[in-house]
Amino acid sequence: MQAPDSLPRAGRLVLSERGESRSEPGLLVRKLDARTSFEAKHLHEYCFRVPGELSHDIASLLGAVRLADRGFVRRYSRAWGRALQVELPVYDLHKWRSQEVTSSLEDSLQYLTGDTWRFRFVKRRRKAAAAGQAHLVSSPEAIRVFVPFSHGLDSFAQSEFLSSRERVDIVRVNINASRRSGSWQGLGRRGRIRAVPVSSRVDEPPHPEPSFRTRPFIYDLMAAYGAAMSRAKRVLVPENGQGSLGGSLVPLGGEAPHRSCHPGFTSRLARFIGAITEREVIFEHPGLFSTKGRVLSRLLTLHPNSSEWLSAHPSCSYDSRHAHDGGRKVHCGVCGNCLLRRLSLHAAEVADCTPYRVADLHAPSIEATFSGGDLPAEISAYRDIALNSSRGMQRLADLADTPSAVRVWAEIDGLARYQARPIPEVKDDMFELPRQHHLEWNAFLIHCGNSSWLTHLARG
Amino acid sequence: MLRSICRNVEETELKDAIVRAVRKDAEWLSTVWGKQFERALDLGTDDFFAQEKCRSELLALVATSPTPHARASCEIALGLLARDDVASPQFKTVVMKQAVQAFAVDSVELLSSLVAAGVDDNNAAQVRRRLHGLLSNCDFSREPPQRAIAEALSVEAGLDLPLKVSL
Repeated sequence: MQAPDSLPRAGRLVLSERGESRSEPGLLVRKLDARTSFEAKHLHEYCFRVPGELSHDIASLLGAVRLADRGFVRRYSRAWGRALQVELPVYDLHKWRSQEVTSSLEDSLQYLTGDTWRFRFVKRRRKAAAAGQAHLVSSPEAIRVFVPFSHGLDSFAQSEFLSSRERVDIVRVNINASRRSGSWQGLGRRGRIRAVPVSSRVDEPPHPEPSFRTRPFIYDLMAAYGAAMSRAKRVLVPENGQGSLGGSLVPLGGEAPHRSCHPGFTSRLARFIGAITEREVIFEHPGLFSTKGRVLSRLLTLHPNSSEWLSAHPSCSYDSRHAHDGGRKVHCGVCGNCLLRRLSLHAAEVADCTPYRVADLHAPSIEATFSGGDLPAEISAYRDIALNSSRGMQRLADLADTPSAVRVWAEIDGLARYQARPIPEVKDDMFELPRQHHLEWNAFLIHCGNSSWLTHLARG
Repeated sequence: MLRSICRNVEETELKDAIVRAVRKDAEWLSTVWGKQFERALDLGTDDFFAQEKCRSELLALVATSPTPHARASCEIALGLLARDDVASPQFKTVVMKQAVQAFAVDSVELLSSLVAAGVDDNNAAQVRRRLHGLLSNCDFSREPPQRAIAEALSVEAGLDLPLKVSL
């Protein structure tokens, strides 16, 4: 097949066991070492296994995927997609070169990022450093469910729902990109919640590609690999309906839709995990058709002390450099995650005690929310983010009036296939999500008022 | 397109600018993959078995789609088969029209967001409303006529131009 004209950006990443690092336009060469690979020991601290060759290969793959995604910037003005090639040394060359492994890997990444991925595997010769004694989190015989755990509200809520209905050992896997978690004593504890920390830090080139669409591949692959290794089989994806399907239903411009928690992605990832580990892993999406408002409403019945869980589980995705108050990280209040948190707490009738940078929802403009005219330097960025997030919410709500829209039906058809369910059943669930979101969003805008900056941005 | 709307041009010129911009984003249609996609859409109009063949071709193509829009077009075609049960004789035309319309709506949102960043929210909302109003009357199925470009004057004609002097 000929190379499509609309893929202008090509990038090739070569990880090599020897040689120096270098980079030139379209080519990035790096030595395969601790700076380009994830720390394999972390995989095993929750997999209850002594690290094997496959674990080292998975750790190298994750580092390579992150480097390739971040190392070649998109040319947004010409086209979203890039043609990315990765050369990676692996121990079990025969397995990695098999058609099923390579095609399922490339398919997963292409679906997630909108780029074309090609892998070339070569033989890895040097032995990996021996690992120490593997730790046991609990009895290897326990029934476990793995959860990619962000410490956000959905992760917390769905973990709590699961433990309230089933007697299982929940292994929460938290990927930490900012630091190397040292000892086992450094188990990621925040509040009452224990999560297994996995460091995903690699040395990226300067000015990396900001979209970083492979992030969920890293998170979910870690959790799924853990599940496969410990024969747990089940991985629970905690994201709510707006977060899981909203990106597909109302994309922006020519961007690839955000499908980080979409069953289309997790079913492809399950195929890859099955091919590489020869073990079945099932991704469950309990919140797929529920609004976040409904999830929080249910959480409130389980844990009535909402201020406790609100303070322990943040939502804001905005960089802490821009969302702080006197050096303390606060919620920005305007990004998609913050807006969804605010509208969902309103829908669930939970008093919102979250500190927001843009706090006043009733003010006529975002500028007016800052007292004394003391505007932050990033005010235009706030306005930009607020417009995109509020329009996204409004467009999703508008779908309630057009259930026969082609994008809705494209989702129904896809979800029926990915979840092996009949179309009429999926259709009912699918229609319900925008309808409920519409109710919650309208009530929230009424609460904000007609002259509110939010109503103006969403419907202006 | 943004330049056109900012100059407050005639509606026809604006619609042509929209169609040109949207069609430029559909360059993937002229690739080998795009031709295979169009052929697949032509398969499903005879009977149930033909429709199933169309469906399986689309499912095979979606995995190799070269751009996000190409993938979305495949998914929209599959969604229309699921929604309407039977593919109409104009299935290909319907799919292309609906897909391009959906992409145009997404692009209007992006454009309006650029106007908000560069000018202000009020102008962005006006741009969005005006473009949304025009979209339903745009014919994306064919390239609009070439823009008329004023021919450059010859040296002789230029010398004949009356010069105004203001003192």
